[in-house]
This record gives sequence, structure tokens and C-alpha cells, in this order.
Amino acid sequence: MSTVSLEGVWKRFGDVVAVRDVGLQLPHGGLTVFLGPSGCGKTTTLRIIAGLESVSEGRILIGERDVTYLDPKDRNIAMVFQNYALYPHKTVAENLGFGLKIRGVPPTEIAARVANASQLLGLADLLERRPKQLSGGQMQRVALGRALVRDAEVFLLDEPLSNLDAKLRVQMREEIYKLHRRIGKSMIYVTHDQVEAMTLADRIVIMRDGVVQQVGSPLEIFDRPANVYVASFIGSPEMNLLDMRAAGGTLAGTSCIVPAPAGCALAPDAPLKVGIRPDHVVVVPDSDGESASGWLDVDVCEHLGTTTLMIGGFDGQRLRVLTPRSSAQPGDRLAVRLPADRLHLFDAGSGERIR
Amino acid sequence: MTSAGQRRFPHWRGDTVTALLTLLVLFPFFYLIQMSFRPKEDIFGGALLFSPTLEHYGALWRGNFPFSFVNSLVTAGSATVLAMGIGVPAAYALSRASFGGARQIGLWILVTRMAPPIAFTIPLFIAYRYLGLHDTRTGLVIVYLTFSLALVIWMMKPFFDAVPRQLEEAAAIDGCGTWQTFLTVTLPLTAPGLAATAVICFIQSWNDFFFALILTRTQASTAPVAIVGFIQYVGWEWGRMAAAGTLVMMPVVLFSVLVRKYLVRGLAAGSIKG
Repeated sequence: MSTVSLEGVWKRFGDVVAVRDVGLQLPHGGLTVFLGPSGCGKTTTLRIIAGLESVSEGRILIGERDVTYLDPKDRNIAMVFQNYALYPHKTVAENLGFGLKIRGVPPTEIAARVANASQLLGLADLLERRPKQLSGGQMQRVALGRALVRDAEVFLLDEPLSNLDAKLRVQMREEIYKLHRRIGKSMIYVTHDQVEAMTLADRIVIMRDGVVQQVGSPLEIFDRPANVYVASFIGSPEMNLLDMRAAGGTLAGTSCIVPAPAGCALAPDAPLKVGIRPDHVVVVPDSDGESASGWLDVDVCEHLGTTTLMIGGFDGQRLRVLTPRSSAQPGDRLAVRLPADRLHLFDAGSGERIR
Repeated sequence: MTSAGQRRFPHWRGDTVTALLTLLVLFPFFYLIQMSFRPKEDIFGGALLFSPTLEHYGALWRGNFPFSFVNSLVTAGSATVLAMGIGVPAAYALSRASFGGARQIGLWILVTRMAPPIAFTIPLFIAYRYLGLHDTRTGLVIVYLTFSLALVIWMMKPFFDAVPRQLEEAAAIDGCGTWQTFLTVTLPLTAPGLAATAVICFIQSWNDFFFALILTRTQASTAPVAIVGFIQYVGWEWGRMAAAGTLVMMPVVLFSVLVRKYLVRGLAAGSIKG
């Protein structure tokens, strides 16, 4: 059973198309992350689900209900805003209870639910304060709490951690993760941070220019990116994408030949983008030069402690190689191998995945 | 590097200048007030010590002045309440407007303030004679309302502009309709602006002399007009003028002092957004 469905949703602002024919089925109780760079339409899609933006075309269903033309208040959703949007003239307790008060919940029950939520989020001591007197992390908690006290069907979170400093962000990320496991409600989470997406999501929706690029679990997307864009967007350091051509059962660069992955039919001489993650490139020991695919002329060496990232020229193109800590220096020449089973092949023209 | 304590000008110099300027500005008010308590014979006396008397206030109380004073209160009060009641939602609508021509509408509202009031007097006078509004409180309220509305709308719009939309969106998600959002979230956040606007609106109508002089005769004449009535053929009644002037000043002063905190914040917030 899906909680939220989008069917052929378009959103235009004048001549600008913000969301292009988005169709999604989001599972009940899951945490879905909309991921993409700024301006990719992820926040607009979230706002459409919330009812804060109207659709230009298409339908939105929450549960079995068509909510396309309903006001936000009638959709039974709760939302956490990027800048928290706490009511400055109300105390924390009033902020938390406002939604319930408006909906005519009796005061005793409001008090009980506010107490419950503030307990859960560690806000119990702050109930009488006003938003101005809170730190960023506390405001974030209140914003979460305001969504929590409402017994909403879907929780929408719009870049909730982007205004926090790095350390607090990691901490709040964990809390949101645990919170989601505990309350078991459907959540939709918008972010441009792939680490947040990978760690939190049951399912990631990657968007670009208003178009959904790929939907899948974090590891599915990491292991089998649907196109060049997703391949380069997910994973850090970024995936290498090399221009090569198909030649029989092999892939040919300008000066190197790499065996193609087994079981893929490639049109002869077809131009390809060959992707490989930096940590999948193998540095071959000198004694074993036969099995090497080519030479890496190291330009940059980033010693990261546990690992070393080497960037250099390979077959006239740039290649990033992530190895366990090594003593390599700029100017070194290393034999490297691109294992066939680690390669991702994309059509050079459309960027779509071939294998 | 100079520390914060070492300024180019020492504190006392600034304070002295401030005190001098304040004295200069307030001198006419003090003069008026002391005059209203001086005995008739000694009205222009320069002596700082005199035996204060309430004879002028007593004379005012027995005359027609209380009636005019009430007229002033009622007309200025009603005009303010109406202007706020109509103008505040209008300002909100203009602030949030996404319809075409919103800017033009805003501009045309302002235009009503650009023409000199005297340009309207003769048409108004003639129209009021026909409509039976001449020398009525209703007539005055209508005139004050037309002028106050533009003021309210243009003063309140920046305050509404400064309220983040996300707060209203949060309220919408929390379950508020448009009016509920406006009343429970937006309006409380503009309280300083509301106070400042209401005060200025009230003062503007309260201080009006021109329209009250032209459009009223006896029934609806206001306090400022009544004061002029003390200039008579037989002589100028300085004492009563001073006492009446003091009384006319009082509501404005009281009102401003009461909402002083809001007034300062409000006027400042209007000038620099956010």
C-alpha cells in the first residue's frame, strides 16, 4: 500500500518548468529522500505534496484520497521547514500545541501530547521559552516536535538540517533516523546532501531539472546508477567517467584496452562513457605489470589518513584512484587495472546506463 | 586601535546637545501649559512663580468646549477604528498580492494623498450640502477615513512584507484557513506596526483643523475649531485658548506614551525592512 502517489505531476512557473511529469509511488511507513542539487525541483515537489503549491497538471493521492485540490490543512500532513518557521510570538509549548489547538483538540490532551513530544525530543525544560531564546539545534527540535504532536499521515521535511553546523547535523541526522524507526510514519525528506540521503533513506528519488532520474534504495542507486548524472552525483569521491569505444569484447581508449564486462552486447565502435568508482581501481604491483590496463601519472596526492586519493592522467583522461594509505608522491607512475566486473557502461550520447 | 569607550566626542557633550534641543522643541508646549494655569491678569507674565488657577479650565467646562472635545474624540476615534479595520486587511492583501495590477492599485491609493486637501474642499462642501452630511460627525468621519486609509495601507504594507511567508505556510499546514492564519499568526507579529499606525492615524484626524472648519458649523465642530472660536471681536481669550490647547494635546501625548515602546520599534521597523 502506498501512502503518497504522484501521477503525471507538472509544475510550471510562467515559462519555467519546475517539475516535469513526475510519477511516484511512495511506500507506507518508509523514509523517502528527494535528492538533487538546488533548483532540481525537489522542494517544489515536496511543496506540491504539502499543498503549498498547486499543480499545473497531474494528480496527488495520500492514502486512497485524491488531495490534488485540497488545502494543506485538509491533507493531514505535517511539515518541517528549512528555516524552522517557528511562531516568534508563541512559547515553545504554544508552538508545539498550535496545530492541535486550531483543530479543536481539548486542552488536556494538547498538554499531554506536548509533554510527550517534548520528552521524546528533550525539550521539556524549554517549554516556556520563545524561539528567540533557543539555539539552532533546539529550534530544529521544536520544529520536529511541532510536526510530531500532530498525528499526521505523512511527515514532510524540507532540508531540515541545512541550517545546522556540521557536528550538530550528524547528531540530528541520527535522531531523525531513530525517530522515524520509533514512530513508523511515512516521511518525505528533501536534501541536497548525499550523505544524509544515503544514511537516512529507505528509498531515494534523485531529481534533476524537474525530472526524476532514478528511484531506488541507497545501495541500488550506488551499485547501479541509471545514468551518467546519477553516477557522478552519488558517491564520494566522484565516480570516474572515461570516454572509450567498444571494440569486440573489449573497450578501447586512445592507448589502452580494457576487457569489457561479460554478457553485454555492444554495437561495434559505439562511443561509451565508462564509469568506475575511485576505490574500485586496482593499483597493480610492479612485478605483475602484465595484468595492468594502463599507467596513472600521479599529479595530486591527497593523504586522508586511512586512505589516499590519487588524481592523475590515465590514457589522456583524468582518473581518481582511492587506495589504502600509500606513500605515493606526485610524479609517480603507477600501473593500474580497471576490473571488468566493476565497470559501469553508459551510452555516450544519452548518458543512459547500458550495463 | 581605539577602544569602544574612547569616542571622538565624550558622552556629556552629546547629552548636553540633546538636552538643549529637547528644551528648544518642548518650550512652546511648556509655555502653553504654564499659561493655561496663570491668572487672567498675569497671562503674559514672565515670573516663574505664580499662584496657579483652574479658572480657565472651569470656564471651558461651562462653555461649549466639552461638546467639541467629544466631537473630536468621536470623529477621530471612529475614523481610526474604521481605517484600521478596512486598511489593515487591504494592506495585507496588497502585500501578499500576486494578481496583475497590484502595484498599480497600490500606487493609485497613494495618489489620493498627493493632491492638496484644499482641492477637495469645494466639491466636498457642495456634495455634503446635497447629501445632508454638512455639519455632521458622519461627514467628518468619512473625510478623515478617506485620508487615513491611504496612510494605513502604506504604513502597514511593509510590516506585512516583513512577515516571512513560511510562517503562514506553517500555519496553513497546522490547520489554519486564510483568515485564521491572518488573525493568529500574521497580525500579532505586526503589533508594533499596528500600534504606530493607529497612533499616527488618530493624531492625523485629531489634529485636523481645515476640514472641520469648512465642513462643520455648530453640531459637529471639533476641538481645534472651537479654539479659534476664542478669538472674538471683544478680545482674545488667551487663557481659555491655552487651557483648550493643553487639553487637545493631552490625548495625543497620553496615547503616544502608552504605546511608546511599540511606536519606536514600529517606526524603525517600517524604515528598514526585516
